[in-house]
Amino acid sequence: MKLPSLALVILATLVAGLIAYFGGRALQHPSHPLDAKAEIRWMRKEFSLSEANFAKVEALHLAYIPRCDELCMAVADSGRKVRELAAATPVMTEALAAAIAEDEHVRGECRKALLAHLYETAAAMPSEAGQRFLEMALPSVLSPGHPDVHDSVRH
Amino acid sequence: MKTNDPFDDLLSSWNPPPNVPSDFREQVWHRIAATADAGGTLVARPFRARVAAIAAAAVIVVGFGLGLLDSGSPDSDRAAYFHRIDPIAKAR
Repeated sequence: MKLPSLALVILATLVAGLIAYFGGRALQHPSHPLDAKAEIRWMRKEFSLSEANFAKVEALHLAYIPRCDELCMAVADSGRKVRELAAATPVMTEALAAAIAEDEHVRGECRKALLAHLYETAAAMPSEAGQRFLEMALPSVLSPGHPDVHDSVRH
Repeated sequence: MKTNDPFDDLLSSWNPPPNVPSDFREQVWHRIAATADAGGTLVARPFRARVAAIAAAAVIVVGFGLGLLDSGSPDSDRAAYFHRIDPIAKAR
């Protein structure tokens, strides 16, 4: 084998190895935002869920995601409206006050929906696992929008 | 060992003429160089190809295995889940 072709084979092998690595990673950990089932796979092991429990949790998750996406768009819209109105005026206006109130209302709806979903999910688990799930999850509802909350879940 | 055989003197005096071309040495080196350029002997080439194929397969299998192992971080899965179900966090 000549030197250039040897280098080419080594390079191609390394590239194939990298592709295999990311393929394996993607297979085990689907990160596609629409792969809602994969998002909760970790819970089965974390909370030692039976097939029946996990099926309930999965059904709740799949039912909640469309509502969650809807609320996400609503809160993004209300926040954008507040930012635009705040930037367009040097004083407080009725329109801005109304936009702020609407934004707070939407955020409240988000918290209520999330909290209700967490309670339902916890109820679908065995008692001890459900309690542990709530202890893990509640900070994200009680301190919505706090940038450290989702990071604290990692610890 | 001296045997006094008359053939001994005859053999000693026998000096056959060289029957090789004058550029024999040069031809030998040319052939060695040509073999090296072609990737070794006829026996070595398939062997090297097999070794290369096995090494490539090993790299791919190890890469795939590492990918499977690396992805199973429960912390990141958990964080991703809580981010996914929080509309406010997602909108940010």
